[in-house]
Amino acid sequence: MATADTGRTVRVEYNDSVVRAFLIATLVWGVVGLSLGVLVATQLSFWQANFGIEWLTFGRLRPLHTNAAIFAFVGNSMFAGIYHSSQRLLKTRLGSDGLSWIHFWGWQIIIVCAALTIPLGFTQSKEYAELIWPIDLMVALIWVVFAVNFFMTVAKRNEPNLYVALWFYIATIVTIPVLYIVNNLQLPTGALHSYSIFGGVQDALVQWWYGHNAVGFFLTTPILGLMYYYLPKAAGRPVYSYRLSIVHFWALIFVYIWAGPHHLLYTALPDWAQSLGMVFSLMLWAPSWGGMLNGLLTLRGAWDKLRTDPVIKFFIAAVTFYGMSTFEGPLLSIKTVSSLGHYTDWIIGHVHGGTLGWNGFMAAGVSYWLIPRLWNTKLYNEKWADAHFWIGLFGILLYVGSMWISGVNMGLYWRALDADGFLQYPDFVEGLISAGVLWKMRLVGGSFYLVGFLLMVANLTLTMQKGKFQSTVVEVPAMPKLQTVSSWALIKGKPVVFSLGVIVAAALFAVSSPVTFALPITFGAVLTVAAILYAGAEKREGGSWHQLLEGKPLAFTILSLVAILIGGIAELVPTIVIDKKAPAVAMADSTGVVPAADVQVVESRFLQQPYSPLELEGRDVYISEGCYNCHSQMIRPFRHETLRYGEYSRASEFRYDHPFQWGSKRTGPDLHRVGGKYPNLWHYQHLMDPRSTSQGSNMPVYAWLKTRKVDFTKTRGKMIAMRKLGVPYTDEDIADCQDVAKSQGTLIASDLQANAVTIEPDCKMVAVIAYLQRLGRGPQPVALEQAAAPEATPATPETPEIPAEPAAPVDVPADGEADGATQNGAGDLGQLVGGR
Amino acid sequence: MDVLIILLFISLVFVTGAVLLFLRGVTSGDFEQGDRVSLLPLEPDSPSTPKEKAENAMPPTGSTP
Repeated sequence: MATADTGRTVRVEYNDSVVRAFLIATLVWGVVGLSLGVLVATQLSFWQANFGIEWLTFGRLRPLHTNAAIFAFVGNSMFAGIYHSSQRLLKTRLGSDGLSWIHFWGWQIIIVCAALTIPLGFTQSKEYAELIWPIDLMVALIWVVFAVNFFMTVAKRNEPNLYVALWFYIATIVTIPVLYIVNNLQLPTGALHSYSIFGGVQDALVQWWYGHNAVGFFLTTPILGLMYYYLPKAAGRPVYSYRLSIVHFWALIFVYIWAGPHHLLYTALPDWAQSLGMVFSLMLWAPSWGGMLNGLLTLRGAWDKLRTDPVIKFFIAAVTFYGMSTFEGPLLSIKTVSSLGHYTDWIIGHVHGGTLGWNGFMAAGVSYWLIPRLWNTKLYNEKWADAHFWIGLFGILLYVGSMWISGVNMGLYWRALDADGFLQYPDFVEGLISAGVLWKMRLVGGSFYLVGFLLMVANLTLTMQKGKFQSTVVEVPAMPKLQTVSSWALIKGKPVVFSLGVIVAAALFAVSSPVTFALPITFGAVLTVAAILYAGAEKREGGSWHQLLEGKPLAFTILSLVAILIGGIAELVPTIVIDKKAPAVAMADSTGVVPAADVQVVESRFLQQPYSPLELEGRDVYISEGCYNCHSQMIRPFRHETLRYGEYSRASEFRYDHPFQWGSKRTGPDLHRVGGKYPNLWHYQHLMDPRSTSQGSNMPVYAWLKTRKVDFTKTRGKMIAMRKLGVPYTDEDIADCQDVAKSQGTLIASDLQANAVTIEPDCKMVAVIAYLQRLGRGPQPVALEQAAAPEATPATPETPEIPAEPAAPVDVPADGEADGATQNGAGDLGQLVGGR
Repeated sequence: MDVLIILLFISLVFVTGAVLLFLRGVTSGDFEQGDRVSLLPLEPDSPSTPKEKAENAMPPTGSTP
């Protein structure tokens, strides 16, 4: 950018106090997050570590661990680095001291609220988005404070050009609110409870669009920004290639946002969305490795520092883990590989390579670099830092290695068929037992990492005690007078036009029939040639297009927003506005409402009916306990899955699931067809003592569900909320909900009483049993008819391939046990609830 | 399978175009401002007044530029 140097200087005192606060919070929450990780790893190997206490079960603590690691540990580290480096790169003090402290304390309050609510069972059940709606509002508010503070800093800068690190910060700041707000659109039913406005497949797609990009824009882009600042700083060399960083940035943020559906391969998500997710994940490989190489090659000519400087060790190892994770991610996104790795420990190994290796080591490197400088002293003990590095590295490798082996082993175990084409290992628990040693290795690896981290905390605490904190004061050249270039002129610049032209051509190509291929081909070719021909004229007075863009934060921010919105809109909008024929049919079935004339009425046993009041309450208990952390509800269309769990899951079966409960990991078996598979007594015994029914299980004991009561006074409000979300409850359903729920509870309690089990009909365990018995069974009248004629049920489904809609209802495998439909009150309930 | 061939062709056209654009940008000096901006992280980050410099004469450990 052309500037007029005034020669004037200004004195700037950086606000390092808030940086110090965020750094200390990083250390504190790092210990908490890692300790929780060690605890949940212990629980997986030793179920007794759940202590029989509801607040300490794996299902509740695992989300607390992930939230603490992501938002508390990495979040605080990220904010410290962003605030520190932004002031230096912009050569000015933070925009507002007040906003900086509101940001800091607001974020800590959010973390404390999360630490209180998640163990208490208040959760939205969406992975990495478990926080309940009041806390979501706080997150949104504090993020706005952060954004305003950041852009105020940018506005009063004394440096005309924005360095690459700041681009990544901008992308983070604009993308996170988009992701967070859309994924957390909820309809509250109370101060601490809500339902996602999206249901079933839509909810799954939105969630994993968020979940994947939370990794992308909370754990990756801001940390890449830190890499682009602190790695050159520590190495004493400029970034290897500024040009490559431009390509890295724009390609990464544009491509990343599309890759979310790779979390849902072979699920009931539409195939086009799965394919998009896979292809863009593979494309993501290129910019990710471009960034990694840019980071590694920054050390060119200074590799000797790798031997002597612990900060460089952490940075280089972190960037290497980034490269490894971004190789593994696309690999796992290939559908064939995903069919093996999904639901297994391989995914756990993958994410921990990223968080422990990339995020954790970057946070360590930044802390080791910053704290001695902010406290104006030397690091207390460099040997301890070296020891931390090696202990941590060993811990990561042990953790990741054991999870890789366990994951691949588990995937192969699940899919193994014998010579006759049936499951070679039909017992799910047997697989858990075989993974036992590897899970203990994971525990040891995680513990090593925690020990290393504690060593760093001790080292840095002693460093702080030794030194004296002091905010930095510098004399910097005043902001030169800039030549005026409008943001709009940049936004409509040729690079943007060219890029949008390519995107439009690609979209035309995607929706064209073979006959019309010529149109996008011609369009794309002409656009390309024209853009190349005109490119030479793009250089404007005062600098190239990108140079000017780097001096225009508003234009830069808008273009970043456009880049991330394209992928999100392209994937989410078609799925959300898709024709809703299936629910219309379901409404006709359940309420007698005649569907619109243009809606085709078909009969299908895979159409979902609304949950009964008790089942709805049971579902909320299931969510509250975090059962989705270990149990999926999504049977993929593979022979080994349909043999093991029953018929594969259809999209229409989840229409009224707010939120969806597909899960992403199988520490326990899939539950989508568990309804009617076992009698109520089995579920009671299993919840009271999982080992009594499943020898070798590592599931926690849920005995308290027998004594905790369901608050049926809230059921009405929940059903009203569900109706607002499109679930076809009638006025009668809602008015009678308490009586109906208690009646169904009484039927289940009576059935248990017949087996010498005394239980209150309004306890949470009865509600959970009602929900579990309902899963995957379709309309209740069908279940009732099936219950009346159990002999018609085949013992094993024989439809591994996609079948036509069967004319007669077929239940899931009875597994040699009594059909729960005869005992769960479903039939009587059908008479009680509007004839269903 | 014809679709794949067309898809590959279109993709190659776009990629080639983008690469050519980038190379043209590089050769025409579009990114030369990076030579200055990329040095921003290396600027000294220490107190600048003589008194402050004297008070903090001892540099921290590590590889401060």
